[in-house]
Amino acid sequence: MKFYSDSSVLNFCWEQVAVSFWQRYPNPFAKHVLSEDVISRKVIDQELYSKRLLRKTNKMTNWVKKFSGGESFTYIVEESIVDPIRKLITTYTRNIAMQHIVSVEEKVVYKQDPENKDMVVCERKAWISSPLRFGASGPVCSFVHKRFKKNSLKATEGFRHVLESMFSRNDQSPSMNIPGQMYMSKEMMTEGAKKATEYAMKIKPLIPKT
Amino acid sequence: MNSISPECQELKEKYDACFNKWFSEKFLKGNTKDECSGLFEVYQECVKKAVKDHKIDLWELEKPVLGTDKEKKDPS
Repeated sequence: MKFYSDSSVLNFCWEQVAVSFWQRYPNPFAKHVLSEDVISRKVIDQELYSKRLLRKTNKMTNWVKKFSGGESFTYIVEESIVDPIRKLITTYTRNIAMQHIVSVEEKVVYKQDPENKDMVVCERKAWISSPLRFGASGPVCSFVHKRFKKNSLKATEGFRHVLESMFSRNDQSPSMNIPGQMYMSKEMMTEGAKKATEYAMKIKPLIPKT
Repeated sequence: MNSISPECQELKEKYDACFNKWFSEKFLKGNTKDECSGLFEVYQECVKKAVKDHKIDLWELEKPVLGTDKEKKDPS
């Protein structure tokens, strides 16, 4: 078994992180995430319990492929609890395919920085284990551990990217702290992209042809 | 984001839009009354069929781990 833990900071308030949490896919840092569906969702005692099913590509080295029968994707279950009173999001993620080769379980807690309410601390822990025998589990765990470390950084980068595109960092007006005003529909984003394109078209003639 | 099945895509988008609005405008402000249950039900019917078609391990999918003693513990 291999254990991994890290901690990172998101320079956004907890409400913004909570809103983006559900909209963090797709993003350019998570091209390996192919699909995402809600499997169950309920509110218990003011807390939101959700379960989502994700399908991800599974890029393995050739020697791991030999064990896996060449499967090119895997399924991940993400359980989460959002507690808006204590300002906590807790997630637990595990693979539900290919456990005969390797199991990765990950727990992440997003909590408001106790010293700065405009920041969220993200604490990540992961456990990697393999039931393989004859000395194969060690190298498999080491390989997956190394890849997990890389992907964990990418996951945080992807989350930051989504947060930045949803909530302009330049706009620090107090209204940004009101959750109701933070929701950005797909239409709003499309509208923004359209305006940017129109603007780019307008300034194009100013650029001399080379 | 894509759904597991293209057949569920439209239902997913409608539900997600309703949920995201509810989550930011109601849930985070303390109003927890569900407003998207109709959209969720039809979307779920579609997803359940897709999960079956993809031969996903239902027992593993439904098993709760978060908040139970099945969660992994920190190495001591």
